[in-house]
Amino acid sequence: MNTTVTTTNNKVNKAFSYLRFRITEMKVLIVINCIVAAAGFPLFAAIFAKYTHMDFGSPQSQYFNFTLLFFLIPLVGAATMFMTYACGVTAFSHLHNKSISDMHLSLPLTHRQRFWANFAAGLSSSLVPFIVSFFIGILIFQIFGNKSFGSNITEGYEMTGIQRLVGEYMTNIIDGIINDYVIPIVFIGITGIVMTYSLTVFCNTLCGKFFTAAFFPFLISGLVPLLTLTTSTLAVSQTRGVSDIGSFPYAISTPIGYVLSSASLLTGNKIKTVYMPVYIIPVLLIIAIMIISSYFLSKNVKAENIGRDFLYKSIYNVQQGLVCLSVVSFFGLFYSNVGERYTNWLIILAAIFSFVIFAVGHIVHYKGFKKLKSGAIKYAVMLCSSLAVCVILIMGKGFGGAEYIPPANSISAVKILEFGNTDVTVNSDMLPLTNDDYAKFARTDKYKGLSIEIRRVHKMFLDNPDTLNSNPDVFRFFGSSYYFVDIDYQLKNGLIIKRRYLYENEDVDMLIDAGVLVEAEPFWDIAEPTWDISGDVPEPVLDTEE
Amino acid sequence: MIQITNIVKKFDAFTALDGVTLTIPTGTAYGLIGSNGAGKSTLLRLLSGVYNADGGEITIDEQKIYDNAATKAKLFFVNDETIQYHTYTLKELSNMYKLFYDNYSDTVFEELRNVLQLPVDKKLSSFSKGMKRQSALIFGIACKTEYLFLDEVFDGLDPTMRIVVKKMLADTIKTEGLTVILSSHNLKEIDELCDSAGLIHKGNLVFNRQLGDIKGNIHKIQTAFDDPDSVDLSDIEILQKSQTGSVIHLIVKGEPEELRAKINARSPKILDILPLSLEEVFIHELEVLGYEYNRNDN
Repeated sequence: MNTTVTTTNNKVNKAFSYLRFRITEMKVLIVINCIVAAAGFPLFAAIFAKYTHMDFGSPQSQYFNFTLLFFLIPLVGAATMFMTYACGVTAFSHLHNKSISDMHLSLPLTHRQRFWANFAAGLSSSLVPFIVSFFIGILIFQIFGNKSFGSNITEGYEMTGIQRLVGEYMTNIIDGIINDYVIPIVFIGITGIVMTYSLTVFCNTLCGKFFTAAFFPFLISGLVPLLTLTTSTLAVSQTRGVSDIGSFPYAISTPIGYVLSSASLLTGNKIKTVYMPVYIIPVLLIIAIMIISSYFLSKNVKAENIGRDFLYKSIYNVQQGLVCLSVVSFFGLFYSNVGERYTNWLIILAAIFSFVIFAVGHIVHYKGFKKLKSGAIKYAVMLCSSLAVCVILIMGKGFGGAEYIPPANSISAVKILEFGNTDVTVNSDMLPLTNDDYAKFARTDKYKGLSIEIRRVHKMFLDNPDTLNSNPDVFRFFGSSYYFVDIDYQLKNGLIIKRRYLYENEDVDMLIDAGVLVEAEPFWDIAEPTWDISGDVPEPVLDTEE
Repeated sequence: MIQITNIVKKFDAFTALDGVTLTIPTGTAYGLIGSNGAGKSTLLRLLSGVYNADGGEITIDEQKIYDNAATKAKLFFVNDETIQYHTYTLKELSNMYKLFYDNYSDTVFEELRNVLQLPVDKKLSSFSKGMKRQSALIFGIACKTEYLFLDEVFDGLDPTMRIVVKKMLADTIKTEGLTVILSSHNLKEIDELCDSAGLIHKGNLVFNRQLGDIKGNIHKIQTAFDDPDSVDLSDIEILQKSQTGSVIHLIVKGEPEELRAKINARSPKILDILPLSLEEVFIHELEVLGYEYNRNDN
């Protein structure tokens, strides 16, 4: 028993020793991270603190501070992400630096000890300064800045438009700064850092050279959103009604997408979305997949491959394949616009562009014009496969998704926008996804019928195809005159499903004549109370506040 | 004891080690010799747990090495690179190694560092190639592991330092009972430090013998006959033969007395039998292998 405890302690000690060693190795990065972090929350807090005591009429205008803040936010965010990436590359440097790999791999450590120590070293190097800076910021704010905004505004001073705008924004921030903004920012920051770090580590467990290890995270960060966008757009390009695939796949698949999408939620009342399971669980799942994959990939790394472009041979082919598919699917996007008559040109252009990119990759990988024959065969296979994927996506016509109407019991809220100009909206404030009152509104027993009615109306649109999409000769590259009806669902799990049905004039008339919307009369009955809040209709809190 | 059984290591289509079997008893200083790319460094990396074998088995004290921290704690590997840890000072590295090796000796480190006059607070990046090599060896000795694997450790050392380092290593082997595997192109060091040696060529172990046996079994013979062309030497295992007039130069395998008797039976005008240096043995063994390789190709 005692021996077991001693052995376990010894193992843990060795892992901690290695962790200490790696952190020491990263001291320069840690110092830079601390500087970047200091430019974050503590500086914000200092500026806020000064701002709460400022005198707008004083000669030292605070306008500079505002400008500084608005430049600082994205700058610090970008710098933090870059430094996190640098920490990831450095923490696993033994996988792409042959001269040090022997020493690291021959140290008395198991793979598990080495991996987690490296992982913790890199992550803590970027995460700890960020978290510490947050607490310092809170401290500064609590000590120096806990006063109402604008308390010292000089009498008679008239603020400029921008000052007023920013001032209101600042006031809001200061009023509920910690709960409403700082905590979500910290949450986004921590998740973003962990995601960036995980992606970097994942890429580093695939790459055997510094160049590829440094470049690959950027490539993946660009390729994944591009592929997500192109393939999903292609998949719905020949469908009716699916107009907006949303930013959800983009937001959860890459750190940049996550941070930008989450940051965009900072305005309005959408910030609480970052805590929603439907949003955060996929992000955490992707992070977990990347970390677990990294563990097993690095475990199976053959040390002799360190120094090559990739630690696993197949990754080069995967990379080339993804690039080829991205280019081909990108050109495929134009198919729905230009029609079948230009298909040949699209294929030729896709082939030319993908060939150029493939050739550059081949030359870089093989350091010259080697293996041209096998490269040509590989390219031909990838091009054909990519074309096949695009054809399947286009021909698949959304794979039944366009005809999908959410089950009544899954709908939390709905919105209808008719003809693009007349609001017949049930709760126009549905976009703040966490608007509990809105969700409550849809779930109230009294309005149970809402979900059923909207489904009925939706089905009517599905059963009345418009002529606009059915005419392939209509060249709609720059748009043409048409009307639309939007149906948006907010599901109880937080997802949003958006549908847009396009109609030419006659079609709309036809629809109106057909009394499609009139038939949905019960729907209007239900929709009406939104505009006329009275009687026993539950009143959304948000509206009341306004 | 190090036990290598039928070990195979492949790098894609290239077989770096092809069924090498070797036993190195504890407390032995073993020399690995071989041409460039023969597989010496690969074998040392397998022994250090850096590489995982594609076939066969390799153990130290009957324990596997790859991903086995306990076994790795018994060994220290000095590779043939000189730029690792270039951002560290010796002091920092000493502190680092202390964390990993339970028997690490500050005293030994300081003693050896003083002998070699290496600065303790300067970064290794400012060291010369030879100083980096000396540093690596110092840590190898100061960690006081049971097994020490040295890959081209004398490379880059000036003649004076070679002597100093050699003595340092010889003293440690003698006093600590260390098991050392030393790979070097400079066979003089192996000749002076090692008890036994193995020649690796194209991934195969050509021989594995005590140094005395290696040198004692191959000889250089200079002899002359009245009519050298008519002399039949087919009963002697000749590794190399060259002739200048009536004088014949031979590199042969066999016991000296037996060889002397066989040649004397042919009434030579002169006969000198000289032992070969390890370097000459190495060259001639490889020549023979090269000859066989070419012959097979043809």
